[in-house]
Amino acid sequence: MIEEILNKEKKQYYLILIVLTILILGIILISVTLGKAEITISESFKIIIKKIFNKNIEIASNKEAIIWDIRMPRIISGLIIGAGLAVAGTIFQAILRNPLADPYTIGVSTGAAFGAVLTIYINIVYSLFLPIVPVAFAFSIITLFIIVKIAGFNQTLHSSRLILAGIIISATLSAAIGLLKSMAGEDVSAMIFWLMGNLAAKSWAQVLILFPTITISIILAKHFANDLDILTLGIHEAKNVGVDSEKLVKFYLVIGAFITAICVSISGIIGFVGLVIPHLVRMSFTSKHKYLIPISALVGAIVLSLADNITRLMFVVEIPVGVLTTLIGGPFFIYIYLNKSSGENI
Amino acid sequence: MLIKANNLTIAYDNKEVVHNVDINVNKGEIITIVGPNGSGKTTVLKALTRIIKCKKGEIFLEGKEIKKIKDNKIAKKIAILPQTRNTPKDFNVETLVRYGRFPHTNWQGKLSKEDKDIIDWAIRKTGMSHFRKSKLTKLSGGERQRAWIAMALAQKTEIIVLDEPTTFLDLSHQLEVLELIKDLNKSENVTILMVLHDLNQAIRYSTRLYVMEKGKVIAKGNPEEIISSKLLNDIFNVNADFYEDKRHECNHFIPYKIERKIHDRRNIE
Repeated sequence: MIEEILNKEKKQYYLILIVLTILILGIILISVTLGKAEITISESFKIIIKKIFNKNIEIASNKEAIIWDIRMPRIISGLIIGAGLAVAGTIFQAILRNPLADPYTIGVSTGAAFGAVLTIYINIVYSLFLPIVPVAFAFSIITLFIIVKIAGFNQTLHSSRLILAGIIISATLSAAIGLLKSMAGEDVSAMIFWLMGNLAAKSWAQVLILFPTITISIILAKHFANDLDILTLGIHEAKNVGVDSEKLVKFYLVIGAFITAICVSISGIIGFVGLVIPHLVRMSFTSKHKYLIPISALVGAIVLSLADNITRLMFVVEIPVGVLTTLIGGPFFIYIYLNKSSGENI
Repeated sequence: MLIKANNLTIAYDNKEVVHNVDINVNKGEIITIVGPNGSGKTTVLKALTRIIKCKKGEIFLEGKEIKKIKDNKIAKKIAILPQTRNTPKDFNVETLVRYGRFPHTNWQGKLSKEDKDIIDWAIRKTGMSHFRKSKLTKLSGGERQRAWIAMALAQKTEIIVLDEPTTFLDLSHQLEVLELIKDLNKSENVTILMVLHDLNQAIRYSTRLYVMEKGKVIAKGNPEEIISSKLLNDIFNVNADFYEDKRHECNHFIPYKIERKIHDRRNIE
């Protein structure tokens, strides 16, 4: 009896995986043809074929640049960041055993934001061109370190202590960001734009950072996913059935924070994907983490890239995708929450 | 000897709450730790099950120091039923019981035929067959307690540790849980270590008792011999009449009066 149920679930899982993958490929192909520059669909596909299969096809070089060097990296970054945020959200909800947790709960993202804003400020004041991404990343890792120290890792792990430490550090850093903003005067717009989270102007260099790091993190996260299921019982209860809970939580904390740090350093703070997607998958399919992690990744990728297409195409002035995800994500989440008969899975 | 704990001293934030406690558990016994609130019963249990660290003292599991054994190995020897636990919302009984097999499965968590048989057995043994697919949140307190016991059973361990398994249960469910524990001890030869509040139940179901007060073991041994009116008066400040329970061939007492001690009275004044 157990066997049957497990097999059925497994089949469903692979089916969903295949459907979502096809959907993603479709989204890539369609998104790449969409845009304000006048490039026909056939031209777009020709460029892709030319680039991927190294064929020699005559095509205007400016069009080639738009498709291959502007649209393509942006689309792929969006997919990877969406996947990363959704997985990080799943991880934090599991290890903090809190349904309200998301990649930004423990404040790693605020660390990245502070690093970015600080870099922008220094660049403005001293007319430098310091790169934002590495500084943001460094600050998010430092923040993680401080939070873990405050939460007191040597004692038994309490998720509430981690959340509390995260909130305190976040609040402090937010104030510091506010200070830098007020000191920046007229140039504050660059900071605000970064903070709102967007996928514009992503290059292949960023894809090159994103792809290996996020993919490896997700694979690692899936690897110990069965243990995460047991962790939902509680830290001590999991230990009682032989899970080294403290080690497990530390491991996932590092992976989740690492994914968040990379995503936020590159795209700014894109809200709601990390909170909503895991819930969505959990409510509609399963709460087993070995399925939840990969499916959340794919759904996150799809949602963020669709949202990015909307911001790119629907408005006269491009709005940051982070604004859109939160704007649509909030009401949508309330909608599915209320429509779910009992809402007890949340 | 299955579990041997020497000289346990346990402190919370440098405040010692348990002082130099020795506890031994032999195979096949039902050991119960009793004592007033705050006497350190649960703390000792937590130390024995590695949830908190000891300041001093050693714990041996089958002659090996417990600190040096991996979580996974210990989980094959000792199953633990904690006092308070959160109930995961979307779990059904079967899922919970399946997790009991975790220490025995490989890293992929694949269940063998044997694992499945044990899960079926654990569910049947605890009388949970009807509730197999029920959500834990939908069960009554007694049923939920049985579901957790089923999970502990699925671990197929030699020892089951239970922290106040009857708390929050009504009379019939208390009896049901204790009878189940007794049956496991008799028919499956599972060694039991537990904390109970009800002294009469402790007398009736245990082979040996440890009585704790203020972080110390002040009496241990055969329940008949150590639970006396003097002990009740010393520890719980109550006077009690003892009767013979002929059905179970053990003693039974009814407390009738609280006797404040002199130093207590002085505190009140």
